[in-house]
Amino acid sequence: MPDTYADHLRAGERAGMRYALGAPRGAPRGLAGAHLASRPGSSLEFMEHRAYQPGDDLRHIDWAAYARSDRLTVKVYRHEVNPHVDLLVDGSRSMALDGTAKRAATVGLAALLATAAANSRFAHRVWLSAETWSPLENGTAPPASWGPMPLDAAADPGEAYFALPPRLAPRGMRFLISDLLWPSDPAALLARLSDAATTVTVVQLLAEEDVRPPEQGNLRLMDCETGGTQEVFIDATASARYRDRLTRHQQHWHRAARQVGAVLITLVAERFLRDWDLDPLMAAGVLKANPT
Amino acid sequence: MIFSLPWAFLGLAALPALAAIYLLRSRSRRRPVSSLLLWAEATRPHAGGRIVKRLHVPLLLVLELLTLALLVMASTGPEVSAGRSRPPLGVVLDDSFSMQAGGEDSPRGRAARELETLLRDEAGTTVRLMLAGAEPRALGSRFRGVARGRELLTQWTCRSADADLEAAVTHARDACGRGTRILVLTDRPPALDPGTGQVVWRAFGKPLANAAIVQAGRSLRDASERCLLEVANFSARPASLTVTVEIEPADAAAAAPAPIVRRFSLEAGQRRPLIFQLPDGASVVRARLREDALGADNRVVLLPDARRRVRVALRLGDEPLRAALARGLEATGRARLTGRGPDLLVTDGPPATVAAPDLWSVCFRVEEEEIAEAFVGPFITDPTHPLCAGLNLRSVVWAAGREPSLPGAPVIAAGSVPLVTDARRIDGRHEVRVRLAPASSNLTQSTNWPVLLWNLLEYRAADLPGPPRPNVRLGSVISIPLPREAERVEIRPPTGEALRRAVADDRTVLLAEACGLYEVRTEAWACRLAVNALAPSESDLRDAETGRWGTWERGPAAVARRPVAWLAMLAAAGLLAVHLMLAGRSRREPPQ
Repeated sequence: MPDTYADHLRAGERAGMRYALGAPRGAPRGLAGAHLASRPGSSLEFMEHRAYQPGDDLRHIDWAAYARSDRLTVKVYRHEVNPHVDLLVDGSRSMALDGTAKRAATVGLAALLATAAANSRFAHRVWLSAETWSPLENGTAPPASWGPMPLDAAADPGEAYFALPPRLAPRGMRFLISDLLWPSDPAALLARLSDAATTVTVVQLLAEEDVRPPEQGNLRLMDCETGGTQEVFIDATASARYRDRLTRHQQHWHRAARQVGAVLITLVAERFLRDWDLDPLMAAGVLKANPT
Repeated sequence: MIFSLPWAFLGLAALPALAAIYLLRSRSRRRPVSSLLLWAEATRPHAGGRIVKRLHVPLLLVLELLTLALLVMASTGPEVSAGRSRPPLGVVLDDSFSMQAGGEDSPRGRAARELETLLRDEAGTTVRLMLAGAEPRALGSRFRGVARGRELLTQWTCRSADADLEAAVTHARDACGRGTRILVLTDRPPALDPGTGQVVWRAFGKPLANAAIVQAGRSLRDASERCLLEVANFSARPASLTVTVEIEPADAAAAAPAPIVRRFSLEAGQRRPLIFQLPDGASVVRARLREDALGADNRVVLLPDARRRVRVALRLGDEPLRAALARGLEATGRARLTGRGPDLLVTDGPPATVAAPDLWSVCFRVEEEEIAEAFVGPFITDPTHPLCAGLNLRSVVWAAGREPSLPGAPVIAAGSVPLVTDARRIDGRHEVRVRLAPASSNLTQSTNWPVLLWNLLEYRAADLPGPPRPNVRLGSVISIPLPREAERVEIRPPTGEALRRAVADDRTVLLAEACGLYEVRTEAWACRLAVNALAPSESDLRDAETGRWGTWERGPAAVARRPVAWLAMLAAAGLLAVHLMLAGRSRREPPQ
């Protein structure tokens, strides 16, 4: 099993070759997109003729038609878009929890989505949270060229977003990869994230240990981000209580995601890495099989 | 609470061990998690530190510690004081027939009522009854409560001719254990006042006037049979007595002679022997006095004292030895020389090989004079063997060969040379071998010769079917040989139902516990046995008395204890059940 950063990237890239990003349902605007939008634009694909209106691009006047009819007519072309994908990766330490597959899954998933975006001819940029959100070195390049992704930040990604938001491309597709195990208000974050975005997809990436409470007994739990500790006695009741809180937390995020039209899916790192199965994203239409 | 095995408290060392196991097992392990966000409501365990916190002890640990403590307690043998209950009580019951004196108001009746009252007062006391007859005998096992005591007292029949109270007290002490209180119920005062201690002596007798037949027997004299009776007047004043003797003829068809009645006077405490001439062929003789305070000693029944004669066959080639044997056997009066159906074959040849199941053999090995050596002693005799009873071989010259081998166990030997041996065959017959060179020995001329022959006949007669003596005393235990073919025997006592038993080892044992005629019968054989009281000391009621002697001491022995280990075991089992239930429920919780 590969366990270096490069290995994870390669594994994600390899898995991402099977996928492509689905076209956004909205109509994002772009300068020279690879996808045709539903509105007129500047692509070369002819859409219809209509009468000239002031302000129309003179280059689109059909002079031949003017010669025949002495009326200024413009050719209307379908607007062509080229969507942009912003991959926001939670760079906190919890995404690289020792003894779990979260680091490999985080890096691999980011690489997979970037590769899928490339397969769809979408531009992408990878952002990493620390004290603030900053672009990953070579984050617009194929994953193999990405700079290091330390995943050692102690800051809450939500607070970091509000401290200095990333400069996300307008009308782009935005992916947030995080375990969402931080206390910031998800509604506020998702509202900011979905502002001027075509789609927002939140992938909650948890470790098996995050989902399944530890075995019974006394434990000194240590928060890998803050270093804080807590002595707990785990029995059946405590396990059930933990599972209830996790469910409530996830429901909280789901509600917030629904409010802004975002898609939220949860992946368990260990299970995800087993076969790189992204059926939930396929079902949500975020991903599709790579036609090429 | 008292602990009979206090060293078992060492088991409590397991408690800290168990707690240590729990502590070590439950010590917090460090574990990094993504966030403590979801653990905010988790139960906090007990932990050391500067802040004093309430201990969080797992319920299962508490249950296990309690269970362990209860098991340790159970193993220490805890006992609690049983309140006002007393130490065990051993009751010695005088089983002699003098306890029946006075009819309804007999010492036995009054003692039984007193005992029932005591048992009712001490309902929680463990009691053991001991019958004091000729030999002490436990009556049932330990019991509590008057109902069981009343049931056991029905077996207190007072039919023994003697009461060994001292032996019964000792036996009760041994049987009931340390600290037992002993209560003796009798009709006479103790020889010594027991004082304060373990024994209380209660007598319920009354000094009653009583006349009794204290001796009785039948004997042959001058070819005629006589009956001897001895009558005693155990009272403080002279008494006029009448003895009536009834004689049953041996021939049931013949008419019985008229009863013999003899009247006489006896001074206070005087005894008088009476002799009655019995007619020829008299079978059962019954004699009786007028009824008085004690009935058991007013009647006797006597059977003919016909000692069993042993049929002897002599087959010897050595004429002097044969003559000496014939003379000696005749002198005993116990042998009948016959050639047909003998009980004992005396020969100088091989032992009997015929298929007669009851034929014993005496084989003389007549040694040649040339090889014989005269032994003058010292002779080694087996004192436990019936053949050696009364022998004194000090002046005897016993000539015999030196060859050491002679079949059977040596009975008489000269050094390593066996002279007389006895071998018991697998069918029960005995083969006695005698090595003798008669010409060089003076054995046949010595007084030991008839003694040896008498012993030989007694030895054989003791194995012939029938009781050793026809007339026995009350309370005797008689071993009666039975015919070899007998498989079942029926014993019909003077009163009560007949007993039927399987025959083992060709014998049956009879306990003579009632006066009168016993009849012992097998399929093809029968005999009778007469049982009479004949106990002057029991018949003499003049020293009977009512009173109480001795007191039970109060002390540690008076504290009765009741074991409660079972209670601790029960509680431990209950806790274990709860533990199992809780542990099972915990395991059934879904993991996710």
